[in-house]
Amino acid sequence: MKKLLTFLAFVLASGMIFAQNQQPTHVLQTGTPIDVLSKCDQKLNEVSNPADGPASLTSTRKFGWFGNWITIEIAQQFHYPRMVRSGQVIEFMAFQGVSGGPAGEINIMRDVNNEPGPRIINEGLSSVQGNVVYDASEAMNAAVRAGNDYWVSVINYSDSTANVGPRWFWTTTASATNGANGHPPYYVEFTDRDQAFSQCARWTNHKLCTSAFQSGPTLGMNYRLSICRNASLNLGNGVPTMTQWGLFLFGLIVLTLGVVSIYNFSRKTVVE
Amino acid sequence: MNFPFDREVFDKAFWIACGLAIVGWILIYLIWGKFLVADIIGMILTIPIMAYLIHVLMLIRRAE
Repeated sequence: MKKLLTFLAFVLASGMIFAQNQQPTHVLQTGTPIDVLSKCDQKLNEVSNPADGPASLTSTRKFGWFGNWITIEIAQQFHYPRMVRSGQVIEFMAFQGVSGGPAGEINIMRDVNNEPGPRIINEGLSSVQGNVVYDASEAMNAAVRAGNDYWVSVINYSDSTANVGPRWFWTTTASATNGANGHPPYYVEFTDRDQAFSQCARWTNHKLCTSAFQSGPTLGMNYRLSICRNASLNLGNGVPTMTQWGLFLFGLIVLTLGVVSIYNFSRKTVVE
Repeated sequence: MNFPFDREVFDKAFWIACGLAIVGWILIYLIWGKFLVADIIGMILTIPIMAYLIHVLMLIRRAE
């Protein structure tokens, strides 16, 4: 019996090793760039140095009125795949923010005919600067449905009172030529739906929009946006749980004890 | 509780458990596409327990 208890204690201790590591959710980190490919099993195409593209990202909200104050939103389309295993989540988004590091926000929008549609997630960022890794919130994962397309965007505010203004997004990336409607690389589109600029009531090529937005300086930013999904659960509390192996071992031990009991009972019956 | 043990039967059951472990490794790779440290530790703990279970089942059958 003592050996049995010792063995059970050993198995329980092993179960603690198996217990899933808890990670805090909704954390904004900055610092060393991460190796996205080593942590993700899905990665969005990266968009960097948009000024290199034929449709340069030139200006945004408030440009021309308040000096260098700039508010920018860049959106990217992504497909949230059907789950092939339990525990699949969007784990984090990584992007290179602009210098200066103002506050901002991150959005997820529904896809409507290959354009950003209604916003379903809007979360604040304390700073959009340097290499940013934004751990996806539980609300973010609850909002997306497997098998659907979405748009994700990051906006940085240049001043603390800025509201969301006109929105820019790339429909294609450096290598993609078959983005929305087969547009060329770095194809930029624009809407002013939150402000009353007359010419762009919906998402459209920014060159077709008001001329005030066609001739600003390039932002010179190196922008990267990635979404990852991994099999590990990102739970919100610190309670360790038994993993599949822990449950399997527990069931196997109970089954073994049951079979031994049956064997002992049958032997006892035979002896009697 | 009395734990029956027959060395000769257990040796046979151990090899059966090892065969099942190989099948398990193949299934893990087919389903998840990779192996984790937890899989190695879990398999090391599972094989002797599974071998003992098979050994007891063989004893029951022999007793019949």
